[in-house]
This record gives sequence, structure tokens and C-alpha cells, in this order.
Amino acid sequence: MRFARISILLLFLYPLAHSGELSFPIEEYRLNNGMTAILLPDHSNPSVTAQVWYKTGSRNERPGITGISHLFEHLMFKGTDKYPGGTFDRMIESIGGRDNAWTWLDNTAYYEIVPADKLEMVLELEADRARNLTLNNDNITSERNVVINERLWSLDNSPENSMYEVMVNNAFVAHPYRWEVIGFLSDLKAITLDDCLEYYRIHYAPNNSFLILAGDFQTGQAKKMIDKYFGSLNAEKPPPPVKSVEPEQKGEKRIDFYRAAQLPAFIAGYKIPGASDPDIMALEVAARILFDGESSRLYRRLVYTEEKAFSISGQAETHHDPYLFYVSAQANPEADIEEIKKEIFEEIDRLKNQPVGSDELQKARNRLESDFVMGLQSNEDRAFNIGIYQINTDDYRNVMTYPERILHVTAADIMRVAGKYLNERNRTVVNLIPEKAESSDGAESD
Amino acid sequence: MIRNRTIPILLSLALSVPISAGNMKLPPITERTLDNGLNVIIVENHELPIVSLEMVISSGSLFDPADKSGLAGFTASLLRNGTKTRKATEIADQIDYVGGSLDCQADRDAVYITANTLLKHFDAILDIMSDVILNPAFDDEEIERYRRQTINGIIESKDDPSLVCADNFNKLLFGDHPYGHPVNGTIESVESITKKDIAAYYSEYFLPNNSFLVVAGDITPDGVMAAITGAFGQWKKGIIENLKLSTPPAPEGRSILLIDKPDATQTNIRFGGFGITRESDYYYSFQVMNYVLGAGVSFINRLMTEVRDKGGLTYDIRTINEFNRLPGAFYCRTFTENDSTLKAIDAAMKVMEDLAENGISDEEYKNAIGFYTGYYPVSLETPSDIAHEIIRIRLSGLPVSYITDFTENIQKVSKDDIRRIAGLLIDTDNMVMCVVSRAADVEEDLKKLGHVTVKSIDDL
Repeated sequence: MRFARISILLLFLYPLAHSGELSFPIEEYRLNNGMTAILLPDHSNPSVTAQVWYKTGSRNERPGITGISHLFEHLMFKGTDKYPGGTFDRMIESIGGRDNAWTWLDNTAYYEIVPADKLEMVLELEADRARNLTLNNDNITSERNVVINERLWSLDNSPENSMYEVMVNNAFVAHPYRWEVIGFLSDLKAITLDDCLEYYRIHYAPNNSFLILAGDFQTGQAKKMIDKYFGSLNAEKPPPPVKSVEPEQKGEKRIDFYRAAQLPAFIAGYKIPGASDPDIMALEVAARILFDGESSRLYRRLVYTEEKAFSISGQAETHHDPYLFYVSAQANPEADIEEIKKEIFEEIDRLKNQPVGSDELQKARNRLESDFVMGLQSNEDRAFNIGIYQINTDDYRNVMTYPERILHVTAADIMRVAGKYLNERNRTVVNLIPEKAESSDGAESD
Repeated sequence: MIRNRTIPILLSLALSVPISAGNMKLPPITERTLDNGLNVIIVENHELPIVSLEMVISSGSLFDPADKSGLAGFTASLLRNGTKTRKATEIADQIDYVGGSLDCQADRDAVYITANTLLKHFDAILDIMSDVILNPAFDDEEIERYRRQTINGIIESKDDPSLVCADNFNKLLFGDHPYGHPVNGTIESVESITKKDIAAYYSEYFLPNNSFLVVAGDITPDGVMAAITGAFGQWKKGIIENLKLSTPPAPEGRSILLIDKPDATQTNIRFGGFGITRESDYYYSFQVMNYVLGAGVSFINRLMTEVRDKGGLTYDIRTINEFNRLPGAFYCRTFTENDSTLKAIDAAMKVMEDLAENGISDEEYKNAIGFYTGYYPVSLETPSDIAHEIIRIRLSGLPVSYITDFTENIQKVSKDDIRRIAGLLIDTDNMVMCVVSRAADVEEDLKKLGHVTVKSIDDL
């Protein structure tokens, strides 16, 4: 047996106020090569989800190769010597499985959902592509074009998403969070085969990844299979740490952003700490009070009562390193976006000056609790929650203390964190100013 | 706030049917019917302390009068905006307080009122849900507010080229048929909808015998039926008029509509003709055919392989059949950079024509059957997965045994069946196409495909 014998056996216990408690068994252990496996057996549906999480995302990029993590996610489906291009997907699909992957700021994750008896095949395929990927110029060229189309479709086509990109581009100066996961167009066009080979070697080692299995498997058998396929992979020197720390912002940044859009809009982002910071919970509650649901303060005032805003959204968006608490709004055709902005900032200031009432606080807690439980329905959901906490806070066990931490947030905490972080000097504001593009050919009917 | 539940229980217990799970691992599914005709389907699953409720009113925008498109959606959305005893703001306060959700919306075939809650707040959510369904106020102020919001939404949706493409493709294919109208209506139709229209729509279609309720989660049939009967037992049944609608004529030749969006750096494309319904004899053959051709569940279908993987021309391409009560569209949709528009359309049409002409290979056939045999049971993992499948089946008028028989029916499909359905659905000489792009970049190329009409996005 190659994997270390030290296993941590836990129950994911979640006390619910009036309905007993939820419990899911979790077992975690570490292979000799430094890879961690987290097992969540559940026999209610004859299927199993396997997720391989690599601790690399846009945070681990540098100017010139922005977007490489996500491009790489695409390349991971291009085949190996043993299982050439298309074989991976064909093998998964022909047994009724689904597979996909996603890249985020701090991670790249790959997953399969397959009938329970096909787990071994999935583990073999994942371990194979972790070390034996075929990288060549043909694969890079065709996927580069796919990714450029993805960028145009998901980001450049959308006024809101473009505005968000302008915000992160300007909010951060030193930290790699200043570019979007999809990367800059010029970098996407310029990434080379050598860049990809280097990226693969550094970031796709077993000691930079962890595996989560959730669903219908026997733990003993699963461990044998994990050892067989992943245990033999060699560890590599750990990737270089991300050293850049974002300096303190000392004044509001204001950016006017012109593009074609139907409605004027703005987005404002305030710097907040990373996901492990104890202040995050109170910021999440504050966000719920401001934006969540039709009874939230900003929706009620600006969308429902005054009908100035067409939409309001926002959240305390947390990642591994400090990120942003943001709010965005679109103005209705007759409304003044500056007035909307002023009222939103007034509501944010009110959080600093007046304690939130006990009913409103309880509502926010109830909503957080409800979303949390609803987010545990499928094997995929549970594995995702475990994985994202492992990535964002370096310890998945923080997911288990989440419900308790919700209960501990007080009205005074909200006032304190609003005062500390939701300040003008700590803010980046992007104003989307709609421009009318001229009809490209006179648009005469022929 | 909890409704008095001493109302006598009026269950027709004879209709309680536990559904056999066959070789699939399904949770217990029970069906009961109230005396007023409301059918209740209960999916029991005790893994988490949550419950979802979905009331389906079997009349959607298909039933909108010709000059009042958007009426079903308008009526549905107003349900949440006030009842005889609760103001809109009170409904929002109460739902948000318990961390639940209540959504009211319409599509072509139905209106859906969907609630999700933790078990401990089930009574509170059920009480609000039945109130909005049975006692909507249709208050004047709320009607005007919703009208303004909807019109602003229609204006804002011009920023989404795929939505513009979808709406105009439907208009081109279905013309004046209700499926040719957007579910949310147009600015003109939304402006014309009156309180009288809304009240008439509500009283004509919001009937227990025109509806069914799916309850899924941490409940037992006996435990939950008392509450359901208390909440909906007094709902009065009525007479449902049979809808007589003819299907519009199939496209002849190719008509291409090019919508000029001068700032577009990417072209959105949608082309096709009429599809089939779930009741069609070809339903299972279609599933197998489409898996090979361009179904969204596959990364190795022919369109993804040729147009995305080999061509690098798009991020996503798929062929979709809209399974509605009447035949919806069967279409191909994709997007590509402006200068590769013709190349992407040509590549997609070639793949489709080849399949119609030559059918599929033995290996593709084997993979497709293997896919559905494994996939279908796995896709029904959570109670809400099962609830949504039941709703889709019900709206198509099929029995719930559809679930247990699905894989067997897929395995009966032959390669000849696939060839027949491909020949029936794929006809690139007679179809409609909508393209949203920068006209100056693509118009000349599109003319090589057929007659092109150009419209500015501002004139829509």
C-alpha cells in the first residue's frame, strides 16, 4: 500500500436549529506523493462523482500568459499517448457519464459523474492525463480559437460582464487578481507551446492537487484504486508561491467606460480580506441585507419603491487572497444613474451608522442557512463545497463550521466591518456610459 | 399565519399509486388526487430536511390571445405581487424571512409556481404559496409597475444577442402562431394588456383540474396530504376549453434574416424548421440521433467535433428540439467570430446533411445507446431532478412509467429509425435562419446561402 496509513475520519455534522442534524461521513488521507484524497460515500443513487482539483488558476499566472490556466483546462481533454484525442470523452459518455471542468481564480477542477461501477475507469483516465498529456501546436491552435470565441461570447458580448472586467482590471495593481480568468485577448493569441509545457510541469503535479470522490463506492476498494492510479505519480518541486500582495488603496478610483448598451450602469468594488479572514462572515451577512431577495434594502428601495433601478446585484465575493465586495446597478431608461449611485452609497453608510434590527439579522441568517443546506443536495454539490473551502481557506473543514459562524454574526459585527471595509477610499467605481454604434451598412431592407 | 387545517380531508385514496422503480433506484413516488381534480405527486426523499413544491398550471403563452402576447407571463408574475390579504412587500418579507423562495413564471405550455424551503418552514411557505395561487389581488398599481418593468426588460434584452436571435428565429418560423411570440410579449402587446385581460386569463385557466402539484423532499404522503388539502382543497374546479390551434406551414426554401448589431464582434446563428413532440413515435429515435449529431449532453457529437474541436470556429454548437405541447422548433445554434460566419454555417450544414443522407456508424450507435442507458438513472439523483422530470412528462401527457421504461425504449431504437428521423427533421434547403451580427461583415457571405433580409436591431 503506497498511501500513508494516517486517515482522518470525520462526520460532516451540521446542527440544524429545529430539525436535528445533517451528517455525512468524510474520510481524508494523504498519498506518499503529497496528493490528498477526500472521500464522501453516499449510497442513495447508483452514481459516483470524481473531482480532481489542481491548486492553480488565474492567480498563478503572469502578464503575457494571462488566461493560460483556462486554456489549459481545454487542453486537458486533447488526449494522451494511451488515450488519444477524443477518447477520454468517448469512454466517459459511452457508459452514460458526464465530464467537464472549470477554471477559477485559485483552482482548476475536473469532474466526472458516472454509474457507480465505472469509478476505476475514471481514476485511470484522470491519473493518465495528470502526467501524460499530449501537448502540440495543433491542439493549442484549435483550442486557442475556441477560447477566443468563449471570451467574446461570455464577456465581450455582455455589458455587465465587461464592466466587471474593467473593475478588476483597475481595482488591483500588484496582485494577479487584476485580470479575469479568461485572460486578455492579446495574451490568448500569444501563448506558446513552451508556455504550456512549463505550466503543465509546474502546476499539474500530484502534490499540487487533491481528489474528491462522492457517491456510491466502498471506501476500501476506492482507496486501492486511488493508490493504483494516483499513488504512482511522482511529486514535483512545489510551484512558486504567489508573492504579490495588493498594497492598501488610498483613494477612490473612478473609471468611465464607454460601450454599446441599452441602459446606463455602474459597479463599485470595495477591497475585502481573503476567505479565511474572520470578518468575511459579517460581510456576507451585510451583503444579504443589502442585495438578497425582493425584501432586501436596495431592491426594495431602488427597484420596487422608487423604480429607479432596473436591476441591483452584489455580493461579498471571496477568494483565497483579498478580493472585492461589489455592488452593481442598471438604471431604468428615464432614471439618473448618479442618483441611484448616491442612494446605494447612502444605504451602505447606513450599515455603518445604525445597527441592523434583530428581525433583519435573523432573516439574513435564515437565508444563508437555507442556501447552505440547499447547496448540499447532490454528490456534486457536496464535493464542490468541500473543494472550494479547501481551495479558498486551505482547510475544507471550515465548511462544517459555516452554520455556526452564521449564527455568531452580530449587529455590532456588521457595523464594524462596514466601517472598516465599505469606504470610499477603498472603492473602485466603473461607470458604464452607453454609446450608440452606427448602423454598419445602413440596414436597408433589400 | 398558518391556515386553519381542520378542513375535512377530501382525498380520493383509490388513486394513490406508488410507482414501481424497476431496476432504477428511485425514491417512493406517490400520486393522489383531491376532489376538485388537483393531481398531487409526492416524491419522498429524507436525505436533507428540505421540501420543494411546484404547482403547474397547464396553460402557458400558447394560450395568449394573438394581440396580447405576454399575458400568461404577466398573470403569473403578478401572483407574487399581492393577494387579498397580503401586500406585495409583505409576501417578499415573509418568504425572505424564512430563507425560502417563491417564483412565478410562464413558458409556452404552462405557468409554474415554485417554492423551495427548509422543512421547518414548510407550513409558512405552503400558506403563502396557496394564497398567491388562490387569492391574487391584481392590484392596479402592481399591474402598472410590472408593465413598466417588463417593457424595460424587453429594451434591456437587446443587449443579449443570443436572445435577439432566438426571438426572431421563432418569429420567422412560427409567424403569427403563439410560438412565434416571445413569452414575455412585445412592448406593444405588454402596453395593451388590461386588468380585465389578466382576470379573464386567471379565471379561465387557473383551475385545480387544469393543474398538478409536485411535492418533493423530506415528507411522507400521509403526512403532507393533510396540509396540501388544507391549502388547496377549496380551490373550485371549472371547465377547460379545448384549444384548437393549427400548426403553421413548414418553411419553403431558405429565408435568412440578418439583424444588424453594429457593435457585434461575434455572430449569433440559429437555423432550422419544425421538430417533434414527446408523444411522437420518433421520440426515442430522435434522442439517439441527436446525441450523435449535436446534443448538449455530449462533447463528442459530430457538430462539436467538426465545428469546435477541428475547426476552432466556436465555443458551443448544438442541435435542439423544443419539446412542447405542439411541435416546437428543431434547430441548430452556435456563435462564431464575424469573419468566420459563413465557414461555421457551412461546416454545420454539411455535418447535418451528411447525417441525414448516410445515417450513423455502428460505433456511434453503440456509444449513443450506452450513453443513455447509463446516463438516465444517474441524471435523476436528487428529488428536484425527479420532480422536474415528472413535470416534463406530465405536460407531454405521458405516464410516469416513462421514467422506468426510458432505457428500454432507447435500446429498441434501430439504426434505420435514426435515418428516418434524420431525414424527416434535417432539411437545409427548406428552413429559416436568423443571424445577429455586424451586417457589414457578414451580409455578402450570407447572400451565398440564399435570400437575405437585413434589419437594424434598433428597428425590432
